Amino acid sequence: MMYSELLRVRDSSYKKPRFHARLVRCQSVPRQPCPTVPKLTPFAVRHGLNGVFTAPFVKKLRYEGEASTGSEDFPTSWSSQDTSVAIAAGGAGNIGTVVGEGAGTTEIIATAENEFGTCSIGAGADVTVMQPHQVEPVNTQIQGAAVCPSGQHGWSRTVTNQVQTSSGTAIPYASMTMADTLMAQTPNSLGISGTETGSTQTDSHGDFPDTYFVCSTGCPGSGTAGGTQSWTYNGFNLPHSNSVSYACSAITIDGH
Amino acid sequence: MKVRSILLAIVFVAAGAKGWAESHDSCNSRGLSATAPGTFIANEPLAPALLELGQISHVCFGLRLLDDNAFTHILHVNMTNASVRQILDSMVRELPDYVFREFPPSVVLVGKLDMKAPDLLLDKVVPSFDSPRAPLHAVSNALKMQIAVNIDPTITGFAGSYPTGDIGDQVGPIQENGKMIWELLNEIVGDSGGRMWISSLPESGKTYPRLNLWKVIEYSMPPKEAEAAIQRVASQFQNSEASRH
Repeated sequence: MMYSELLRVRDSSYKKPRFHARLVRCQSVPRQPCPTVPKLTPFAVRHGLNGVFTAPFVKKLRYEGEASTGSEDFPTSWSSQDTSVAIAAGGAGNIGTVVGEGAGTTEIIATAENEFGTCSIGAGADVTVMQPHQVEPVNTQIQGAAVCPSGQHGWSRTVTNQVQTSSGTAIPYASMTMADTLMAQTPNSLGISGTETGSTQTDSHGDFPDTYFVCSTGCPGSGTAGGTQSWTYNGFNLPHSNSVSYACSAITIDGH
Repeated sequence: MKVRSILLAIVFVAAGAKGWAESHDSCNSRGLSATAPGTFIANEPLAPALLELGQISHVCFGLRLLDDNAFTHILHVNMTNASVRQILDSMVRELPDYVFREFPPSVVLVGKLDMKAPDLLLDKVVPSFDSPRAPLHAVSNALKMQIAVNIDPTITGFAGSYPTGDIGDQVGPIQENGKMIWELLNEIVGDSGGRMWISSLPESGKTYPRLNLWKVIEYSMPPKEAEAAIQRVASQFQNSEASRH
């Protein structure tokens, strides 16, 4: 039973309760200061979207001891200053999850909460989102006659391919899954109809070895064949495709 | 939890494989009698479990005549200082119809090997296959091309790229006549520095995926890359299975 109803029961002449306002001052509790947090170390995340920022890449980042000090553990939330570059997708404690949305740099802000309220501690980190754009060979490991089926001869060239931004900067991350497809183009005087492609993973420099080959009944000879090699990075298409030129004793990729 | 146990197993296996790789440069000739040093733990399907067993024992495997269970049925193995035979016994006990057999040169085949069906892809006879001594992936690629030409003699050329692998791991020269595809794969892998080959599609399928019949996985691959390679075969296999129904 509500208190007002109790009043009605006890006093049938009840008309209108009288209230006396009184200033109530809570007992003063010493407020603990927000932690002092230094600016976080800048970091980079990858982004693997074919110029259309719809399927972000997620990278978990650990900020050791940054958003909390001493032995206290402050619940921390993360936010981004520019969500077109990166979003802070959540996290727990001092581990934030950042989603790369588009090429660029922005600041990720940590907000910590202590037992008396929220501290905007302003612990931020500049995050740079690197967007894979192309794969280009950076060196040739070995080249020579290919191992071909009977009646055919050809050329083989093993290169170190590298995942790069649109400006040609290496994206130095391991375990990016790179897969390619090859479309035969004209000229095709080598009569290529069978193509072989595969997938592999990058090392910590963003590099991976790849062996290009051509075998043809037209070799040895002066014929050539062209191909367009398209790439995906972790399943997302890269904007740039390579133009591959095959001959009986040479293979070039984007003119290299 | 599963992911953690897989990662732990991979770390363990990677350490073991490194130790072996420093002192060996071919498949373990003891085959089924070889011992997996220490404790072998696997809580995962057959294909990744065999990869780990191969890495730790350096026994070379061929996986064929598989079904979905090879990639989905979680095995539970925890054996100490056991032989490869004992570990495989434990694995196939959980998989109906799966058996294993050793073939020269020191390659252990695992799968539903007693399955009888006509026209199995990897049972096709290759009239002639010649290869100079070359990196394993180059020879494997040449065999794929040879089979493609045998099936479709109108093919006049091939081009493309393939993952390089360890170019120092050379096999051959090979000059064989009238051998079945799986026998040639055994010969190639058995001559290598430690690998497994795995059929990448149901062998009784009616379609022939040119240049994509099998995958060779090196034991020296970084654990993540080896795991990803198995995953790719699994998804390809399962897509093939799904397309048949």
